Amino acid sequence: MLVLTRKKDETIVIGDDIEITIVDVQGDNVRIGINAPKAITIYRKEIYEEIQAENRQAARNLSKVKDNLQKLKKFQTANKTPE
Amino acid sequence: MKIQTALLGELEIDENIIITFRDGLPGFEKEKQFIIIPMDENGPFYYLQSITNPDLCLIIADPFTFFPDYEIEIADQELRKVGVDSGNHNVAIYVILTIPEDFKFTTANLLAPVVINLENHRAMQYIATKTGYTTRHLIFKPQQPTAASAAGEGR
Repeated sequence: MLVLTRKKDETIVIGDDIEITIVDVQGDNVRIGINAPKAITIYRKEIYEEIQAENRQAARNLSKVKDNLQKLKKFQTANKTPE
Repeated sequence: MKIQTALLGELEIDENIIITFRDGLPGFEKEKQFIIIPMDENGPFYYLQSITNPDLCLIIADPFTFFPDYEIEIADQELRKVGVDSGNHNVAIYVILTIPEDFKFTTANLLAPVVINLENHRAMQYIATKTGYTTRHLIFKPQQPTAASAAGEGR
């Protein structure tokens, strides 16, 4: 990991098209501005990790899921809300 | 072609309907090829089965069956990742279900739906960060208390 120190309003350039600017610093919170092509997705890391974790959880316990699937189908059919 | 699956055994599939995730799925970044198999003729549930990993199968569902007001806006540049251009919006949306021991508490990941371009079978899991959705929304309404348990209240 490259570690740099920047002050408020200073900027870092990544590659040809990404710029990161320190917009504000208040105590523990750093407000960061990111200029990047729209095609590049940017998320808080914990959101991506949450999706990863949920996908892995959803994929687990395949044999248990098998038993539950029949029940899930029946339950859903029985509980269909009328139009 | 034939594929092996842990959940559904050996399957004969039409290669033309293979769904490709260019970047895999979060948590399964190397898994890029899947097929979608309906669980029932008319039901909202489907299997999202990996072609290359027999053990990887996710249960997905049509979100609007359970969440009629579900709404996400996907920017054009995001849609271009699956080859959708401004003219064509032949896109399907599914949500991944997490099914616990007690299936009545099954949840849907509304924060990150699976978006599929039906024209070219390219797909992605889109993270809808601007919405208030989470990874776990109960798909079944909480059960109403029965008369027997309600009778105990008000003591």
